[in-house]
Amino acid sequence: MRLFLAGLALLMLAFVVHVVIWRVHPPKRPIHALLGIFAATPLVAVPIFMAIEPSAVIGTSLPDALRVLLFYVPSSLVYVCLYSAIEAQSPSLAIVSYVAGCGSAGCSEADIADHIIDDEGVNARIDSMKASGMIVVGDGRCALTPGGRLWAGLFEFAGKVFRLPLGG
Amino acid sequence: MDGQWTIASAPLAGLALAVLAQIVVVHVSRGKIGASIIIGILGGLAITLAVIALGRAGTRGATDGFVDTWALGVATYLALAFGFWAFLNLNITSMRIRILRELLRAGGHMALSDMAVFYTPAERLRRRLERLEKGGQIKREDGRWLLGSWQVLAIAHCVEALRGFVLPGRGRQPS
Repeated sequence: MRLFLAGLALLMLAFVVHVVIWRVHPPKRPIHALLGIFAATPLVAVPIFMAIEPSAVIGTSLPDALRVLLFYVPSSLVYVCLYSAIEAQSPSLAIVSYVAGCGSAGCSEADIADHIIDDEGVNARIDSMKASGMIVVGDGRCALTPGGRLWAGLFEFAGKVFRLPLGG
Repeated sequence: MDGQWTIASAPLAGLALAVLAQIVVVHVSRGKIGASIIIGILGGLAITLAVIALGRAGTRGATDGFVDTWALGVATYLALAFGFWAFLNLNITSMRIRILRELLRAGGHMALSDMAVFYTPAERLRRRLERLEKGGQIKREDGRWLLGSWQVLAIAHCVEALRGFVLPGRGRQPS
């Protein structure tokens, strides 16, 4: 139970720090801040715990420490993934909620289109991709940068290996 | 000690199997993505449990309890499997990734006017409704959309509750 509780305690601590910061002063770049909080929490908490209870940390074997780390890192990333759905409402979840709210009478496609606002259109996405250096835009055309071509190649490769259709 | 390392590596072995199983099933079944992901993730879970059992057998005088051995291993595997699912889902739903792939297929560049046609709001809504219908989350009867299953609705409610807790000023958003 010791290892599981240690992992859970670290996750809870990082979550509490995140909620407190978000309520006091929400960061401008939330995903960066969230990754920073989850990365910093064990780096700060473990030495403090080591100072208070040295035998508990020193007595931990390498495989046990690895197990806690392997639990903590992906669980943190799961929350970071979930956070993007918390921060900006997913249109798919909004559609399901809206359709459920219509009850047994259901709703038409036009009703859904009127109520579901997907304000981040293609232009906003192109702007963000331009800002991150994936594409360049000029003369009414959009072109991949070398970095963008690399990412596009990776996603295309993943699409072929896992047989994923073009999304969007 | 070997058994401890085996137990520690069990979730990674499970993830590796989940990825391989997804690839095999999706190719054998000719593109049944949903089924391939479920089979992959369940197969990975089975491998995780099997490797943990193997590790337990190789650990003489183990002092770990049930929770540290089994629950920690399974929880770690589920977190890794969620990451794998999120990666696949992102490839299916992300418009940015679609733009990158479309640009690559078009030789690396495309007219902005052509792109705007692909990604109109009506086209995006049609794709989303199609995906949700295919996944059984909603269904169409006599031209009207109805709820197909409660699972995604439960997720939507959980996300809304979490949003209300983490971002109190932005609780329920108009849908």
